[in-house]
Amino acid sequence: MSVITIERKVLEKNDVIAQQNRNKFKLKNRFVMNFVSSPGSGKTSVVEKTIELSKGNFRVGVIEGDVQTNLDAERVSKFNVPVVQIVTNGGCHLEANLVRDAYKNLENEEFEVLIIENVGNLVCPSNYDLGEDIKVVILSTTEGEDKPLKYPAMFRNAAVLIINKIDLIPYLDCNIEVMKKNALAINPQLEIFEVSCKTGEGLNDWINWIKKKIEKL
Amino acid sequence: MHELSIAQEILNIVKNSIPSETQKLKSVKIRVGKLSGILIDSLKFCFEAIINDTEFSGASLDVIEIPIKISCAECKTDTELNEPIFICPRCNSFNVQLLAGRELEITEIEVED
Ligand SMILES: Nc1nc2c(ncn2[C@@H]2O[C@H](COP(=O)(O)OP(=O)(O)OP(=O)(O)O)[C@@H](O)[C@H]2O)c(=O)[nH]1
Ligand SMILES: [Mg+2]
Ligand SMILES: [Zn+2]
Repeated sequence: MSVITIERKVLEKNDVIAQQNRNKFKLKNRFVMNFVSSPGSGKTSVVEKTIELSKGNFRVGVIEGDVQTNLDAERVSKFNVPVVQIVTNGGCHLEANLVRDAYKNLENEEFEVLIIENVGNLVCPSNYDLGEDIKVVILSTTEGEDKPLKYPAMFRNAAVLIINKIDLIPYLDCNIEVMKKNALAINPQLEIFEVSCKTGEGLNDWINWIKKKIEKL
Repeated sequence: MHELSIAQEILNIVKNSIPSETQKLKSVKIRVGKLSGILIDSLKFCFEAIINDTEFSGASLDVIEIPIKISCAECKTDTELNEPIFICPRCNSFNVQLLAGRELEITEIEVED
C-alpha cells in the first residue's frame, strides 16, 4: 500500500477559469455582479429594475442562468440590452466555464455593468467562483428572518444583501430588523438595501451605489 | 445538491494522480470545511455511485471535517465556532477573520502497490 499526497482544491479547474473570466472583465473595465437567491426572491425583477433605472447612468449586460427555459432572458431582452441565456439542464448552479462561453457573445457589446443571474439556490452557487467582482444575495421578506443563519456560506461570501418585497411587510410576520441583525452576524461588512421591485422603493440607493462603484474602476 | 458534480471533480483529479493504471485505488482522503455547504453523507453516496462498476469500485472516500475557526482582530484570540456566527466569543467583537471552514480539498490517495 502506498500513500500519494495530492493537496489540490477539488474545484481548482473552475477557479482557474473564473480567474481567466475576471481578467477578461477587467480588460474592459466591467463591474460584474453575481446575483444569488432562493427561487423566486426577485433576481430577475431586480435585474429589470436596475436596467430601467440605469438610463443615463450606466449600461447593463446580462447573463441569465436557469435550470430550464429561457424565460428570464426573454423578460430582460424586452429592455433592449445585451443578454445571453445559459440553460444548465438540471444543474443547480452556474460554473465558470458556462459563463466564459456565454460571455463570448457579449464581450464586444457596449456596457459597464455585467449582471450574472445565477440559478435560484442558496447553497450550491456559493462554491463556484464565476469571476465576478461581488456576489449580491437577494432575500425577500416572505422567506423569513432566519435564512442568513441557515445559509451562512452564501451570506458570508456576499458583499451586498438586497432585501426585496418590502411592500409585503404589512401582511407578514417578517421582522426586517431581525433579518438584518442575522445577516450582519454572519457578515458585518454586508451592504444592505431594502427595496421593493413592485413600488420602486429603495431602488435609487441601489443604483447610486452601483454608480459609485463604477466611478472607481 | 451539487454533491454529484463535486464527486465527479474528485474522481477526475484522482484519475490524473494515480501513477500507473494497474494500481488499485483503496481510498481518497478529502478535507471539507463546515462552511463549504457540502453534505458529507450525500457526497459519499454520490462518490460510491459513480465508482460503482468502474475500476475504482470499492474505494472509500474518507472525509475529514474542518470546523469553522476565526481569529479576532481586537483581542487576538483564535476560536473554533460551533455555529457560523462570526462574533468573537471572548470580547464580542465583529472584527474577525475566517481562518478555516471553507475547505474543499483532496489531500491524499492510497493505492495498492
Ligand atoms: N410584491 C412583490 N412581488 C415581487 C417583488 N419582486 C418580485 N416580485 C414577484 O416575485 C415573483 C418572482 O420574481 P422573479 O424576479 O421572477 O424572481 P427570481 O429570483 O428571478 O426567480 P427564479 O429566477 O425563478 O429563481 C414574481 O411574480 C415577481 O412579480 C416585490 O418587490 N414585491
Ligand atoms: Mg429569475
Ligand atoms: Zn475578541
